[in-house]
Amino acid sequence: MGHASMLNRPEQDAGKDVWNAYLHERANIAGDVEDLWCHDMGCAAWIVVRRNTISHTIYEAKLANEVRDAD
Amino acid sequence: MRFSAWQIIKQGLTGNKGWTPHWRSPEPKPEYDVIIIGGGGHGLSTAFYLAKEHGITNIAVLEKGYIGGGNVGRNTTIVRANYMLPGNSEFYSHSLRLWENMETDFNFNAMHSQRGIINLFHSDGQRDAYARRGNQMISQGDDAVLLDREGVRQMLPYLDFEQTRFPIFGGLYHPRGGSARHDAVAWGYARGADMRGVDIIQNCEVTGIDIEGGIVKGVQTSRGAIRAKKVALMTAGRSSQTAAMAGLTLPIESHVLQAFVSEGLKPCIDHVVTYGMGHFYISQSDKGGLVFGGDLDFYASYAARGNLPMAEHVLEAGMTLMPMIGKARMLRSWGGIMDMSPDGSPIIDKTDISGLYLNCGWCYGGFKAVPGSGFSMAHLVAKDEPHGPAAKFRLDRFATGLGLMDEEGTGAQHNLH
Repeated sequence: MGHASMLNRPEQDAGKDVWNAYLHERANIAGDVEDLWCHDMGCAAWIVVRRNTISHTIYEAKLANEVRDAD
Repeated sequence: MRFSAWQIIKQGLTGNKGWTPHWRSPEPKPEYDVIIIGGGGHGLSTAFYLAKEHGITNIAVLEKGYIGGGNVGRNTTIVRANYMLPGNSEFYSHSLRLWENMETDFNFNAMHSQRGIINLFHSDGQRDAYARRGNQMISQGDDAVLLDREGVRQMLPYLDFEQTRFPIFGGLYHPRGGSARHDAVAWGYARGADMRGVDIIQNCEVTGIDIEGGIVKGVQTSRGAIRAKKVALMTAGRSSQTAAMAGLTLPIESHVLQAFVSEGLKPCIDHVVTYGMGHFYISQSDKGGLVFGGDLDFYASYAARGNLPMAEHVLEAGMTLMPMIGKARMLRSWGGIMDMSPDGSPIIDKTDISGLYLNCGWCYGGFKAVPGSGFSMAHLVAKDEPHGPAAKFRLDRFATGLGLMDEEGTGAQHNLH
């Protein structure tokens, strides 16, 4: 469902530029990325998957709330 | 050489020895007025219209691979102008009018075939939505006919009308829509641009963009540095990487869209048919292959190939709609890389860097836009102001929230289109 930076939600009064970057702008990397997935045909968990967008290799998956709370 | 029936006769009688290459392979010059990064359909048509409409011919089109080897060679070749929202509507209408004259314009047979597109609907609510869309198309000056079930049956008798999941209520018929030979579109624009003096430089990867004091000065390439007064970024599918060389972060995510083709069959599907409820559309190429596709895989990818769940979904939808295709064997499948913008509409705009222009975000509609995008981009680059039909394709619409063109009405956010 998008880049894992979505977990770092800005403060409400962070300003237009910060919110535009959060909502719309993407690094859109060709290579290793961390992005958010929802296991929607299964347990409905949100997970952060570290994978490669060129080879489709998946390296690691963690529960999204654990990744968020670790920061 | 101009192509004509007379040339075919002449060359046929003289052993076909007089045919020449369609374009030159020049060495890059040290400086150009305009450098276009990306020798796909959009880049080539921009070069062509810069030369034809604006008399600017000191242009280089830099392509890291070969002409027609990117997304212009990896699509399903549908040409249409059935958009509804202001911004999209006038742009695709203009593009379709260019399609109707392009073969004469560049003296090349692109096999543009206006065989008509039928968008099926399956409920009263969907009929209302398509009636409204059809009226918008007519008021834009394009054509649309609302067909009832019997009207669709006359044209497409092979559909399963009684399917229990989504019974067919009718369809919106767009007679001027159709398809074209994708490679020939790239070749035609390349040849037309080359004949007007444009340098098409293949196997030339741009590795850096030179910017001094907020003004673009040129590019670094695998074949050396080239200076330029203006640079156009036209690398949909890889836009984020190209823009990053200029320090820009774009509102783009790259996604894979799969397409499929069957073995060659005798003519059986005369139109383009779309089945939105099942995420499936199909047409038959002039070689006889059934060309069909569905929706995105819905995860960011540059792999140019998709995964099996979406392949299964598309084939199930096809079998639901027209069970006869179950007898055809599949020849191959592939994936194209889509520049997905948050609202599903493209971007043709200046950047904050003087002399640097951006053309990206074509989502899954890049092919039909090839002439219109090139025409409007050429106007923007030549005159430094937006061209009327593309004036709403602004880069800043996501930041301001003004002028969003969310054709599907699902919201201006990534992953919704």
